[in-house]
Amino acid sequence: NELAILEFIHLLVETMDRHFGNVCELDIMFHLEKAHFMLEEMVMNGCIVETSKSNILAPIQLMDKAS
Amino acid sequence: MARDLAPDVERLLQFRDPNIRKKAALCSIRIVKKVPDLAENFINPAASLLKEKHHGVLLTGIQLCTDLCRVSAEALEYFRKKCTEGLVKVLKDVVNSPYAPEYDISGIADPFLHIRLLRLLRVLGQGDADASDCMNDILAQVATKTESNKNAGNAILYECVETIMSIEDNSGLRVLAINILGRFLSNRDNNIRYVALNMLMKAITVDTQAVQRHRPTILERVKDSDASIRKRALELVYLLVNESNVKPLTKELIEYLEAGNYVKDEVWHALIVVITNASNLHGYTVRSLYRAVQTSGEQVTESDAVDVIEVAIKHHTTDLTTRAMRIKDIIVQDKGNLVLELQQRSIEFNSVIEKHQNIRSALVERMPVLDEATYSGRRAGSLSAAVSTSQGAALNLSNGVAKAAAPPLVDLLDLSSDDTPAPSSSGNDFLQDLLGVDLSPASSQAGQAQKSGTDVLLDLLSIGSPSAQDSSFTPNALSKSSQDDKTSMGALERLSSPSASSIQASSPAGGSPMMDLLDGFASSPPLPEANGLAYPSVVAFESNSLRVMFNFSKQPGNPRTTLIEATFMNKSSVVYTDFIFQAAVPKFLQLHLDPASSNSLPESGNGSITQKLRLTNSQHGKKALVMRIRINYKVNSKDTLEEGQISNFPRDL
Repeated sequence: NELAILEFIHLLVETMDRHFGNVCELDIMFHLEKAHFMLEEMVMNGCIVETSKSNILAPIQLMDKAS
Repeated sequence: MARDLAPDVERLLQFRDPNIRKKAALCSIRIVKKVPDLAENFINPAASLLKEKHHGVLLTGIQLCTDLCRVSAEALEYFRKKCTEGLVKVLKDVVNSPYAPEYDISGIADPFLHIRLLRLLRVLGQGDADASDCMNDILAQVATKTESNKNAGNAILYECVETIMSIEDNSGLRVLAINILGRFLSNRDNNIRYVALNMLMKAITVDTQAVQRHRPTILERVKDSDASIRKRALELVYLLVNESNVKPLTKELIEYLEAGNYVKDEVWHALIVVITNASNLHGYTVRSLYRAVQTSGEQVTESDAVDVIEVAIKHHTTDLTTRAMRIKDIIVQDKGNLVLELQQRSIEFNSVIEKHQNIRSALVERMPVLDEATYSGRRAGSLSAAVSTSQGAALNLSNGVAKAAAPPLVDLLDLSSDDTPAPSSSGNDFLQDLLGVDLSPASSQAGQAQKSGTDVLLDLLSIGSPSAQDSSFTPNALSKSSQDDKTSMGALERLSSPSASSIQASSPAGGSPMMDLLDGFASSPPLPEANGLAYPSVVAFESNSLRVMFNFSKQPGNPRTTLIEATFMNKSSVVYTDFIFQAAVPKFLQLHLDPASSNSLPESGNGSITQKLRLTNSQHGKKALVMRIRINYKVNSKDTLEEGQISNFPRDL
């Protein structure tokens, strides 16, 4: 479903925005692993697994707190 | 490894932590894909996953079920029986759920879940009437309730439509679905239109009537600004054509033909096959196409006229047909080839086999095409007079077609004799101005040549490159997209390339002088007959106020160097002062300019300035000469600048 993919891309950007606060390419560049983590939370094995922003960001925030 | 881990994963599917359950579900998907035998073990736990509250787990659970159904028929049965109502209920909850901040996307709670559920329902409902019945209500509810001003809503609607299309027949829902698609088509977003057109193409196999109702919208899409939308709309229209609506549709399409440049030839061909299948319209379409050919001279319509004729004539030899198909598939825009095909067909009618072989080899390998083409062209020329009559006899199909077909055929072949006196289109004038060629010598040559425009065509082919370049000079009048490929190569900034590569190359170059010929019925080759002088003098550059002629000579024993004597003539009635001529050449050429005879050019051709140039071609024989020139002079103490490109050097310099 092509339109769903469009939605997904939108969701991804919004999640990153929520985490980084007004995300731009620099953020992605400097925190590439975090961007990858986020993406991994959302997509796995080719399908969309998580669509709730809080659920996605929770483990990442945990990681940030621990480091 | 999958087998070893399977029981563990199964256990984890019921673990406390939802995250673990989620990952376990995904893992099971992987396992099931790898080892379909293990699928049975997962059916039960998967069913329980469907009752989850946590959206993430629910999502993966649904995905697992979908994959299970795909992998094993037994699972499919199981799910159908047990879970359909459950699923419907879940969907209902999700649709009716109140605002949930976590999963909210533009007003709709978790559209991804919606979509995933719909997909599973689709898999379950396919081929099964009972399951489909259960789903009808919820599908109708989703279809009507979801707002479509946001993309999320549209995504859900799209999935819904797809589901409706796949489940067992329910005409009410179908109509609803197609109406939704029709609404999509009028949406401003290109993506949505594209998706709707795609879907409609699939829907048409199921239910044609409903789609017919949206015909006007689809026809509008054919004129869309986006090329891929246009292409899809066109395919859709082709699919829509049936006996009742073919007449207005073809009228629309023929109008569109004149504008359409981006559609692949295969689609056109298929379209025309359909049109000509409606045999009562043969006469009408051929006549209107012929009219279009005469008035617009567009290249696309040209090839379509050829196509229609080809189909209407009904090839006697199948190998010809298959080859025609094959060639069409291989070469998209090889118009020159098409015209040769036509000659070839005319020859076929007279069934001279050995000539057929000649042309076949000529068509297959393009490198030596010139000699053989000339040969076959000459033969065709002599036969073409006989062709029109024999064609008339051979065409027993329908008189209308025969009459209409013969004139275009003859017209195509007899271009020069009809049209030398006055060029018919403005494109031709432009070309002429640029080339600075008088029409009269051309017409006398054409008169000698006697007939089939083929010879002139082929002469153009052999001197082909220069006109190819000039045609790229005249972008709005003549050139088509094929020119763009050529401009990317080459040493000079803008336009120089094609000359060299186009001699060798092939279809584009071969095509474009044809194109020039066919478009403007320009029978005036840029140079006089090549078999006249060894190095004829050319009008290198001509504008409203100036003419530059080049006379060539070569030193014996040094073929790479050409001596050019440039003669400048003033066409206006004012004398030019401070006359300076400059020239630039690509890297493979070396240029040496001797000083000019004088700096002032008397008016109205009362005198002239001459200047000697020496050009050394390091790629002699491989690349032809090209040159960019710039002329500065003063008219009444006012500076004037003229620039131009000379590409009509004789080929063997």
